[in-house]
Amino acid sequence: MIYFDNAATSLPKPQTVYKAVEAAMLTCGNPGRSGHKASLHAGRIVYDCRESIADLFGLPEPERVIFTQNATHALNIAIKSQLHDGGHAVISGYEHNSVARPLQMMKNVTFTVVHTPLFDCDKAFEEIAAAVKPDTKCIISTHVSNVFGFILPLERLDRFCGQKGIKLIIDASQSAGILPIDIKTLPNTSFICMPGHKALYGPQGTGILLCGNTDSITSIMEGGTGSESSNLNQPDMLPDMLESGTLNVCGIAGLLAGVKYVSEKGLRNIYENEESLCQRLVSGLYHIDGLKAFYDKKHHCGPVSIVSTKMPSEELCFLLGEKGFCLRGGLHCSPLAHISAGTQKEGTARISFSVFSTEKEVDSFLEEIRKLQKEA
Amino acid sequence: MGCLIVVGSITYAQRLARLFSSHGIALSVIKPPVSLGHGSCSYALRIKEADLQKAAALLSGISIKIKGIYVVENGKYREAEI
Repeated sequence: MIYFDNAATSLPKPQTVYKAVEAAMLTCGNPGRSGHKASLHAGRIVYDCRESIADLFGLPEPERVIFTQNATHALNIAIKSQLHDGGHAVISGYEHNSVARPLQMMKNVTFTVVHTPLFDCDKAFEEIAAAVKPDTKCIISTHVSNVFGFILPLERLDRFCGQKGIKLIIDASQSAGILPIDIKTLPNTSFICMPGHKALYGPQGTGILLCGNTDSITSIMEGGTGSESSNLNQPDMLPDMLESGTLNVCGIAGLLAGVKYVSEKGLRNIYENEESLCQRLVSGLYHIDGLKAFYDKKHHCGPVSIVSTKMPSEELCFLLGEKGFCLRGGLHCSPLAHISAGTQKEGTARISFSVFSTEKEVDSFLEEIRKLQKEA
Repeated sequence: MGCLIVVGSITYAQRLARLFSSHGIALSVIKPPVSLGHGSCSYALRIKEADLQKAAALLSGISIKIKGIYVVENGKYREAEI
């Protein structure tokens, strides 16, 4: 099997991740609940992970790192906190349904989707800025499109939010663990949301919410936190306010190993290695009849989308799957991105690498897709 | 004799534990009696009384709400004088 669906979840994980999950299953009690060794041991692992993540993203207070089930969960908390008493939001034309659907569900919220051409950073910034209205409370933008790997201009958007007195919410699902993100350089960003199981190499069922410069934080689930137990109101301190119920300690232990792996490997090395594979892929695809790859190396990170003039993306993925290649076809839960790029009718086939992907795997893929296109 | 520094959550306790350890203060993270946590579940760092002033100086530079600091004597607790 050659796995090129790392934008959905990374596979394989580093060996240290598997070992950490197993060790946690064998040794961890419930963190933050009891005073015995098994509970305290779990509490240390959870805190170590919080601290490692805070270090990686420049957050001075580890308690502002919140563990969630996934990036969607983190985005729901962020969006419902920022817009809990209504208002208007502006979102980029490359947002995932995990942004669009919560907004659509909120009765007292309106939002504007800003469709702009693929890989045009200036246009994206200008049109998002132009869509801000007097009642706009926030801009929500993905850092990197999960379909096309288009890098959105976050620093400019953050500065613009500062000028307007509004907040930026960032979906870092495809960039966390590949591109540097330093929350200290994003003073107008209220939340950064990300999965733990993609380029941070943690297990599925792990997600992260970074609470930046905001006091507007609201829980979307209340319950036991192991703190302030005699008070029936939800604690207002972080992370407890947003972490009711037993944490996914085994997942967090694996995530800690994943974050350490990423930190040791270095973001620059990871990014350069993956982009080099993307360039090899795109150069090879260029010479195959009936294929189009969406790529601009100046503004790209992560997934590469392709379309075939000879078959729908799902069929292409199915046929490649028969040959042992794992990639995803369709709309990738991001219909807005396809409207922006003009691919909404057929969707795209998406290839996404990880630190474990190799040039040999890319070459095998090119050989197979060349054959399929020729036979079609 | 020892001292208890009571905080509201395991996260705060772990953050303080990391800070104190890095400054050579020996400690244990424990669950204190509910009465010391203002009637709620809490965590505490148990340190030697001899380290209390050093610990208190470190606390002044960190934004963590401390619920109370107590001296433990023969199984009884009294508020520490800092």
